[in-house]
Amino acid sequence: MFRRNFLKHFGLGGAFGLLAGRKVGAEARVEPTQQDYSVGSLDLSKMEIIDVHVHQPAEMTFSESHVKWNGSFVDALTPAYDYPGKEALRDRLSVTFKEHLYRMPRQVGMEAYMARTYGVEASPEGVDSIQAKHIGGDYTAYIRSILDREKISAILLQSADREPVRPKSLVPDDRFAWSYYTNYMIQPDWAEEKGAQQIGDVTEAMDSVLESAKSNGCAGLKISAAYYRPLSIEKVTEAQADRDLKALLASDAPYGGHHRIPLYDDPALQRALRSYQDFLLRHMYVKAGELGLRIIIHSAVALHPALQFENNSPLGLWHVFQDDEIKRVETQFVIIHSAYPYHHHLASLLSEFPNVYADVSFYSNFPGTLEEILRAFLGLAPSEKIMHGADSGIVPETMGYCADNMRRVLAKVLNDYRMHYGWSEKDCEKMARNVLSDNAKRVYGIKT
Amino acid sequence: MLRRNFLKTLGLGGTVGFLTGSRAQAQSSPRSFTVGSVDLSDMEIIDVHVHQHDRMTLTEYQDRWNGSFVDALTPVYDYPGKEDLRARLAVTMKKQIELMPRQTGIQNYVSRVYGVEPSIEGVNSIQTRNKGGDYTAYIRAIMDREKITGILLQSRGKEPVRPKALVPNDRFRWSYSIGDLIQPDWAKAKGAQQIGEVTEAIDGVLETCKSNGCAGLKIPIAYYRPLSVEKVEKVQADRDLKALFTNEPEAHVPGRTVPLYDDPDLAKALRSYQDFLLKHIYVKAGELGLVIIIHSAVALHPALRFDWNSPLGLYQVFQDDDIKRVETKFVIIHSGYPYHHHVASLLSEFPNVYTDVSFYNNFPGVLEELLRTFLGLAPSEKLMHGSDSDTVPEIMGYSAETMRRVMAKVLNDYRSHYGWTERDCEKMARNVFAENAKRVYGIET
Repeated sequence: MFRRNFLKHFGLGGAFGLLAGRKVGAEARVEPTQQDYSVGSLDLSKMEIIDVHVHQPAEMTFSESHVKWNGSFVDALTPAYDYPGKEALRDRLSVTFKEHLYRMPRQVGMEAYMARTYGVEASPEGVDSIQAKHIGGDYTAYIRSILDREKISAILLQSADREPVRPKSLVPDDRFAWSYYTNYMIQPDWAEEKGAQQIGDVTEAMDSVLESAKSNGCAGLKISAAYYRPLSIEKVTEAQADRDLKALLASDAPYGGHHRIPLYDDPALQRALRSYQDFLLRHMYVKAGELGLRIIIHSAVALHPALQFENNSPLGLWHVFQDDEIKRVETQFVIIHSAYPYHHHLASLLSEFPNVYADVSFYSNFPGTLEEILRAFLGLAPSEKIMHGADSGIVPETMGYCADNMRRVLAKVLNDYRMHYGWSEKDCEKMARNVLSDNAKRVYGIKT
Repeated sequence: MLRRNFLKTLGLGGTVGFLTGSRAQAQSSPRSFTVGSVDLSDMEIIDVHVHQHDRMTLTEYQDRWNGSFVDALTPVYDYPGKEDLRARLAVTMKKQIELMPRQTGIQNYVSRVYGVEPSIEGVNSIQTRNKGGDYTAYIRAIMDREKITGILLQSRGKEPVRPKALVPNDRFRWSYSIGDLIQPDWAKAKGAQQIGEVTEAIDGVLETCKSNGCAGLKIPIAYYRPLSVEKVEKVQADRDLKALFTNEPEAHVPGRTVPLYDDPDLAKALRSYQDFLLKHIYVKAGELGLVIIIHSAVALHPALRFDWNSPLGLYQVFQDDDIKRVETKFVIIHSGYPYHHHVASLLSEFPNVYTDVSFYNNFPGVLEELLRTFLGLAPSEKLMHGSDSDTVPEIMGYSAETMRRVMAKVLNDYRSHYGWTERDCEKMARNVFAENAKRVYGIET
């Protein structure tokens, strides 16, 4: 990543200036003032920010991105079997979900942010109008302007590719480090694709991918198991994993779901899959520690009806962190999305394990929730353990909106530390810099 | 406990005026401790969870604990490089502990009070000054300064007698840890052959405790097993005892007399044996009027597990007919974090269940959430102040000050936004600070 001078670009103050004297929408909204970003004489709006969880953006409006996702929400609430009236239900759900998503607090926040920043109506159409202006043009320059405006010096971009190489992206090339999505490697069809006959062949193929990722500058490995199975893992012997592999390869079960996993009716095969994945996940966690790759674990329950509590609970991770082989290689873990609603449990883990970190991605779209999460984490754990993230997917303005939320909500929380808890401004400044960017630099090795 | 007139000595208003050192501190103004015209800095405080102190600096204290943290993060088996890992972890854990919010809080507190640098060296300098002198007078000065009129001191002794302590003798009641009593080695040492002889020996200890002025029995089991207790027949407990006596454990929990068995049947027998004895202790405590004090918290030490510290299984304990019959009082100490909302539910359901915020009131941000959670749902009569001060007595002072300022912040919301009167707020503050401790533990000041 190259050193840049984007910090000379106009910042938040400039963006607010656009709205001076402008009536936005039919109702008056209380607009943020510089004070909302201040902790005593400390101005959080001037601080650099790094966003550690971003998906690949695409040239698509906010409304189009909602439409794209809608099918997945509808699928999650539609009976699996066929019956007369199923399509009618899907049609109704499609409308219901669209309304549901547009009523989320993040929608209000995003629309208000865009209105403040660009002087458009605070509405989906207002948001879309800005994006529509850039689609078909130099989208990378547009993203750069968002990053510059909000002083986002870098991001950690999750690659959408199977190849363990630095991804091509609309994000400016000098602004991102990257992480690698590993889900497909713990499915049996990947072993088959690699011609693996024994479990040792699978781990060898996996090691080779992880080594390539490392040598290509990858910062961390994304684990999305919580979308379809619990995060806890049992200890499985190599012999057992080998038996599991053979049983799974002998089956021709279909694959399905957003994360493309095998769907077995036979409970014995379901057990074999769980055991097979447990073995490979543990192997990956150990190998990641040896290579110095962070393990990035999704843990969150919200928005998508497919996200289950038992699968996303981080409680079982205590045993992962206490696994002797994992302890031996000192693997670093980042639990992303704050593990909500288990954020207090995650705060406990952050305070117990020096190699465990968290980010607030996705929930930073929801300022009320963000405040609660920051209070929980900063209350109990060192501020060195918490990072900013947006979970921006498709719509790059989300990065800007989340950065603005983070500065403002963090200022609110830190003002309590200063005014009510006995913290000095210097203490507060250190906390802010840690969360906004310094931890990301240290944990992911991101340079700006 | 004798009545004292130390309340005439300088209070918070005087101490916060000092300072400051080179790092500019946010000064506490009197407003930080007031709710309307109610001044929380004038109120008496009782600290219901204190461990015995040693003449040790904050750094020495943290170094003493460091080995235990490192142990918890080191593989059990031997291998080349294990010592290198331990050496790295010793540095990492030391740093992690020093980066905790409570570290910032204590350093700033000591800086405000004594005018030293807000740094670990600043804190150490005060302790070093007092280490070789009259340490009891030093502790008394801290307690006087913060208007801490009494504490509940957990004895570290094995004998059920009032402990000798550096804390002024007129300032504490004491509690007793039953940790050893439910281990097979203890029964063996007592020469017990049958379960009835074990319960008889336990009763003897508890009765001696009571007659020696003990206020409560500490249950430290969440460090190595769940808090839930199954009902076990006497005949089964007797079989368990015999099985445990005839088989040597493979190891013990580090630092404890708790045996570790590889054989699942023996592990089951131990659990069942302990369940029987725990229930017996809970019932006997109710009969004697001793409060049961249960550790429940997950933070800081990597050995503390969610499944063992979860208070959810205590619902069945509180609903046990034999325990209900004798009206045993329970205090879930350390708030049950991160299960504090569950503890709030239990506080609101059971009139005989209480909690304290010890340890977590070292962390003002967490303390605010705990106070909001507990005071939001349960009577203020159910919640007590505690510091979990261990070795370093300044932590008692820091925690008391933190409690006053955070309580004021929370109660100001009750007054300004929830419709509470100043009198309502004053009652809540007095309950949490001292009145509940007097009533629940019989502490007199």
